[in-house]
Amino acid sequence: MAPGLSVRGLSIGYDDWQIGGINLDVATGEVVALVGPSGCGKSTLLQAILGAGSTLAGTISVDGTIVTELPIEERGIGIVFQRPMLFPHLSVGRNVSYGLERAGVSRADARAQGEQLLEWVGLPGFSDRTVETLSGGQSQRVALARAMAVKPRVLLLDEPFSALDEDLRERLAIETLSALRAADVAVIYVTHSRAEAQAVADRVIDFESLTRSDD
Amino acid sequence: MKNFLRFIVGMAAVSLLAACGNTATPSAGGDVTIKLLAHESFVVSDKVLAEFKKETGITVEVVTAGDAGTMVAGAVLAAGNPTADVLFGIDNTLMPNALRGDGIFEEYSSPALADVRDDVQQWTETRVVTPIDYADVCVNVDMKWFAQSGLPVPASIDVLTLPEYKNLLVIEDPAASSPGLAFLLAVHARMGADGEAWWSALKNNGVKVAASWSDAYFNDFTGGGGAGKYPMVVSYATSPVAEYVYAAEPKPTAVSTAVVTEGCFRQIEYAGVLRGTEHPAEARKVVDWMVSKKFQDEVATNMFVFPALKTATIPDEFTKFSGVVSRPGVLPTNDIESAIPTLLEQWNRVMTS
Amino acid sequence: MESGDDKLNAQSMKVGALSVPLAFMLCFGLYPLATVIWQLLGNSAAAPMMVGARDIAALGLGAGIQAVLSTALAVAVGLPSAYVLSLHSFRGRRLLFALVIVPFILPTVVTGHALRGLIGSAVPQGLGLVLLGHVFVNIAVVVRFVGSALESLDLRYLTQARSLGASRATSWLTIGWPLVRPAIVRAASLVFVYCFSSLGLLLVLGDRSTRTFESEVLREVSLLLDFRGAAAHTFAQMLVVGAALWLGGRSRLPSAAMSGAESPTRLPIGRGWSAFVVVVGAMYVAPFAWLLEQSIAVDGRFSVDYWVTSWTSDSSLAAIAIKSLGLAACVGVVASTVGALAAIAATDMRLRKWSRVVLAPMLFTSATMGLGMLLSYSRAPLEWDRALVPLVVAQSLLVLPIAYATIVSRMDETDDSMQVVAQSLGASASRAFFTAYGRRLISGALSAAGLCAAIACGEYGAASFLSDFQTPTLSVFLMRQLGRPGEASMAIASVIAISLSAIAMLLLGGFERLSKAAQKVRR
Repeated sequence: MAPGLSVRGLSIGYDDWQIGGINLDVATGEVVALVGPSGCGKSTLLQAILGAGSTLAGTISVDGTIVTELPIEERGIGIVFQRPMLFPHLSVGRNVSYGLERAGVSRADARAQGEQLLEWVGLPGFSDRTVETLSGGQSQRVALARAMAVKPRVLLLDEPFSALDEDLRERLAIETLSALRAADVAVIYVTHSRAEAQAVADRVIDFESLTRSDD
Repeated sequence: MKNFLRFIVGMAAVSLLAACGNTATPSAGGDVTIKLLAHESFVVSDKVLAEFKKETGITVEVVTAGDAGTMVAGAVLAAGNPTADVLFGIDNTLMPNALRGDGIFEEYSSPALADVRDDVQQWTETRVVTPIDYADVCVNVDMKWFAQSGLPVPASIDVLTLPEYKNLLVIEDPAASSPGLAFLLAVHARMGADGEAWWSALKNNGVKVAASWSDAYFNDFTGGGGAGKYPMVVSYATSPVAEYVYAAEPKPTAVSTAVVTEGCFRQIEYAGVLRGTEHPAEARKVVDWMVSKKFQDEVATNMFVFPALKTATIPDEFTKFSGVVSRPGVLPTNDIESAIPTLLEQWNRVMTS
Repeated sequence: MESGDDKLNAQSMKVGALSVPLAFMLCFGLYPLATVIWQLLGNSAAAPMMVGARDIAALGLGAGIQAVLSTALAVAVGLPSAYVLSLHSFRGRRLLFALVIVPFILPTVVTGHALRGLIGSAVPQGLGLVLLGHVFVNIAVVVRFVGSALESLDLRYLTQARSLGASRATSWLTIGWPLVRPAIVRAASLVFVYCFSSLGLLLVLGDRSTRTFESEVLREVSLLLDFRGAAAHTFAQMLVVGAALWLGGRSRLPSAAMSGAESPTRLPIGRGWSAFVVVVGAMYVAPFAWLLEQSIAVDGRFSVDYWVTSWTSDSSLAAIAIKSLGLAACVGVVASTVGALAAIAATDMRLRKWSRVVLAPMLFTSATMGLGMLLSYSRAPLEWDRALVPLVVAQSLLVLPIAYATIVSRMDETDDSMQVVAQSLGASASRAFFTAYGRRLISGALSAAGLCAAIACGEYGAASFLSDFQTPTLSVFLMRQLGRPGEASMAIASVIAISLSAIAMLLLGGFERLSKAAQKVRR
């Protein structure tokens, strides 16, 4: 099996709504855009892959290891939500180094690595700022740096720029995804804009086609 | 924005109107409303109120204000510029509070004073109050418990310090409860200087102190319907009557509780005209009405006390079931004021030692 | 961006909003208090002052230790209760949520009686039993405040933390806890205040060693006529309570902290938590069962006679219940309106400290406040003839802090960057404000109205001073029953207590439903 994310025969949903038979492969270094109208179940799928939603049937594997039964923190999957979800009581730097500190990296080392990541997302010197002082675009870039700090094997981007205005959104999407392509990670980019998807992704998949047939 | 401001201004105007637009509406056609300040246990029937209004044109508006002690304190604080016209429910132990300084009452006692029982005339020499009712605070016993245990029902409180009555009595804290204070005075009236030693013996004999009458009666007394452990409680001589009246149907032939009639304290409740009233003439009429036969005939049933008026009718169940206290404890008028703080302090000392 | 004009507009709107609660407090709260303090200090009939600074300090220390212990225990039991009730779904969740509130609503004396009846002599009266009672009553405060914060906590924060490698426990410890802590601190400071100024419960469950400034003031006023001592204790209480409220109010999150998840996702309940729910449920059902038993056990057999006669007799419970219900609803509306106006002002950080004036009723001892109301509401210039208005005003005043705290904590969960966004799109200051806060303001106000109405149903302190004599409130009617002997008295009191609880729960549930609906309405 190729390194990256592999989803086989996955069923997701709740009591009153279910979809099944989802198959999806994303290779390491590949960016796959998942397109579909809002409310179609894209976010639910991401939750299931992440381990935060209930998986009814099927398997999820990361780099060939089945992670279906593993808790979120052991899957090696990162996420950036639609809202940046920056921890409001921590500084920008501590937000970025949060995962590193959990992994046992010393505070000083974590800070240094965090500063590099902030530079990587174009926010050098932001380490000591409070999250309240950031603009929307800046917040999302910090969120991205934070997710990448722990070097996930798979990164899920759940409409991360949809709250921003159009110019910024496009620029940020292109910048971000080209930066990610260079990193060693499989990326699922969820969006409801097909044009944007085509601009940034290696491959565009209609959410609705996922359940229809095998890839 | 404008709408919102208008709303706010409107709200402010309404609250101001509510505050200021209501000041004492003038009474129409000579009809006067007299406010009667009373404690929370006061009861009067609508019928008697209506009859009084019909006869005199006076509407009596009852204003309750907590327990008797708090009500008197409120009246003392408002002395001279009173919150009501007439006060009812001050008892003989609280009277010193009402007389301090210029006092809370105007000089008036009803001409009906002559028809009031001789044994409730205490404090009437001050010419400011008229006795309305009285009740004796006594130890009550659970007859069922005593019948089962075979222990003799005590005839007086003197024996309560004996070992066979160990852990059987619950009293109320005299510093927090009116019957509790009355019982402290009952002991003082009966034993005088020997009281302190008696309390000390009672404490060693396992007396339980409850915070309030309802706490003692319903939670600690075996005869109160609760899961109490004490077959004797400080309550009223009329409590057995209430036990009968409020017993489950069909009514029992005998009452489940009885009264230890030696070692009681007589609480007398008075009414008086509050100093500074704008309607002194009508206020006096209200006091007269409260000691009139119509009002007095109801007093027993309404409040489980005995009427002060000699000629008032006393319902059968009262004559049948109430404890008959022939020698109630009385403290000389001039003794009450000085005795209470000293006794409380002494009691506290004994009970905490 | 916000222009200078808009800023001015927004602020003048908030100043305008604040004027109502300030006027309300001044007229109906501070004026009575000033009146009574003035009279207490200047009364010529007062007995000489019997307490010294040392006595007051000793009493304060004792009451303080009691209140700290009570608060610690209430938070310790309340936190897991809030967690399980707010974030999990299980059968009977709503019922339990309502039940937990009931002891907080019933007159404290009734709760005290029920607890004593239930526990019997297993725990002797004294500090232990007082702590137990305080925990029992105040878990409600923790569940309400922390539960509301948990419900609006966006659980994706925790998911985010876990995706970064934090275990479930670590994510709660490092992210969940700091986000919920302000609500916990706020709840704890309220519980401390309630326990520090406890009266009814303390009298029934305590012994003579458990005292508070409240109980001391009552004794000084009603028995000793030591007015200066009462004033001294009143001031001392204001000092301590004021400090506690100040500490509780200081903690506030950065505004973006709470996303306000619109409908909280509830997790299925695990086995360990199920057991916890059963224990908590039993704890709250038991006193009811005891009251119910009191009301139907007649001479050793079971009968519904007391229920039938109470609800159908001449001076029937029905009439009193209907009146109480109306009265309580009025209190709910008045308190939540005034509280909401103060909460609007509180969104402006410069006005917030002024808006906190509405918390002042918590500072006063109830005996002092009762006398203050008696003195000022029945004399010019605040004299009222009508039987009901003073009680509605007085009870509204007493529950105003609760209304305010409920609404403010709900609004603090709003991300106020929305206001800036709306304003940048050209909305007027007030429109932008309501775009950002409207839904939470209304839903918070409705929720507060329910709570205040429910509390008003069982409120006894002010009612005993201001209730209408002919048709008393349920709480006054209940206390009258408890004031006389006879098997029927306790039985009827139990009937009233259960009825009162049911009515309070109905009010609470009804308004809560409206509040939830208001929150879901899309603009």
